[in-house]
Amino acid sequence: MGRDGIRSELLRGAMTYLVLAVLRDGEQYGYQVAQHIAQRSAGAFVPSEGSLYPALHRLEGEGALEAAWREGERGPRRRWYRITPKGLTRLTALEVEWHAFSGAVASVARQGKASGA
Amino acid sequence: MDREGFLARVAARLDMPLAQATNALDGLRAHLEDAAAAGRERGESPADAERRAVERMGDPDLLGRELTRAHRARRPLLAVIGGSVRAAANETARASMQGAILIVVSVPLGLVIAGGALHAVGRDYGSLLAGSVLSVLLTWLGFGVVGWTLPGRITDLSGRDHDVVRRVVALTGLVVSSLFLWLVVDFRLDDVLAVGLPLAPLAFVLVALSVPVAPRFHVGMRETLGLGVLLILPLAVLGVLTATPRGVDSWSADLASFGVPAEETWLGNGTVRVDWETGFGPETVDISMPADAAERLSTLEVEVWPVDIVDGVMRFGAAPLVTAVSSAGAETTLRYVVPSPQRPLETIRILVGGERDGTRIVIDQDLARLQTQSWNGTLARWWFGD
Repeated sequence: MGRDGIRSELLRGAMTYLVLAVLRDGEQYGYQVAQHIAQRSAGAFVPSEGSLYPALHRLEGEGALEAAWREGERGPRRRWYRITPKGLTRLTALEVEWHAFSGAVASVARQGKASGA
Repeated sequence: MDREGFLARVAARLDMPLAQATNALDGLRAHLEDAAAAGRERGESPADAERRAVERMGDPDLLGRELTRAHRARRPLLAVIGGSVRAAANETARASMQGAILIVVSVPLGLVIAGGALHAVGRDYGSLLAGSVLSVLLTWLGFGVVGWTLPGRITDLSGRDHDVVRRVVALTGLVVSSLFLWLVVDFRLDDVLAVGLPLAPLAFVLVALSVPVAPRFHVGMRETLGLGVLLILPLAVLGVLTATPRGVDSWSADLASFGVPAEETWLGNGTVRVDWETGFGPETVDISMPADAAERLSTLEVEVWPVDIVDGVMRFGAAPLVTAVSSAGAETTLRYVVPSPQRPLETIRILVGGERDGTRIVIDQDLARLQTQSWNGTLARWWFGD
């Protein structure tokens, strides 16, 4: 698997977290969510934009997001997503999990580097 | 691919109520419009902006499947099981239909080609063996096709992880189909089928464990017809390879050990009329004779003997497969059942009249050599007996 493939796999796993994190700042429609993920990661996370939508639909089904269609002043009618209290709770739990996970990965990597030196 | 083409591909993979599907597609359409507009603002041509917007969305087939899974992620387990059973039934029925199409396309032409070759070399179809090999291959193919299609269907249906689904499907399929093959279904079996059929669930398992979530190869009508055409020549070769020597038409048999020929006794030729009825199930022989002849005989007996022809001479087995005895009368009907051994035997039938002093008279013989019927039963009975 190439670097892009690894990044894509990691991104798929983290998509729920990323979507909730971006929507914590306020309601957005799908295209905006994709743009904000790409911008905030300074281009490191450029998912195939379609992969965002299964995550949005799943989170909506779970009650972590609310969604509504709204006519735009410019452009097409868009579906706006807003995080719910349930979504905020989920985000908090994901943050804890993610920090524990990334800390553990970093720790393993550090120890590996130290023993190899 | 343009925007509507992309959305049509996604739509083809959506399996959800119409309102939800429309909702999902409208969301994607709005995204594509936004993305194309952003591209135009960056200075791209409208065509390039549209094309790049579609490219950035990724694989439409995968997206359609994942949207379907997202909508089913919280589906109750019972609904998943019910849907899985229905999917398994549908896929099995489809594979059976494809198997039938395969046979219709490939077998007639294959047989014609093989028949021509066999005629030229003076041999006969070994139809039983060729038929059994073909049946086993088609069964493996059918199980493989279901193993290829079913995990993806159930992954879509359940919204669960594909690796888990395909392991569960492989294990369940192995257990259910093995039970079905071993204990439920009666087959007309021979050595080839008895070994080949139990291996079919393994074909299912191997394929189910390796099939990707979105296989690029779909087994549709076109593929079935194509395979049917490809199989014509191999089937002809199979027919030739499994051919048997041409049947012996001219042979002699010494019936002296069974009794005295009728023409050498008071009974004479033509005194007794005998009608043999042979075929599937119980066989009968109807015997008519004058009353005075019936009075001189005490018994009528049918013996079914296994036979083999060696160098033009009919050799009899050590003992008859069946002996049916009745007291003699002017009109007598004898009924008997010829067993079906696991390895078919050639047989002939002999009618013997017993005089009151013990003399045996060979009244008639049905010299048409008949093969015993194929062994019929479950795989468990074949391998482990009753």
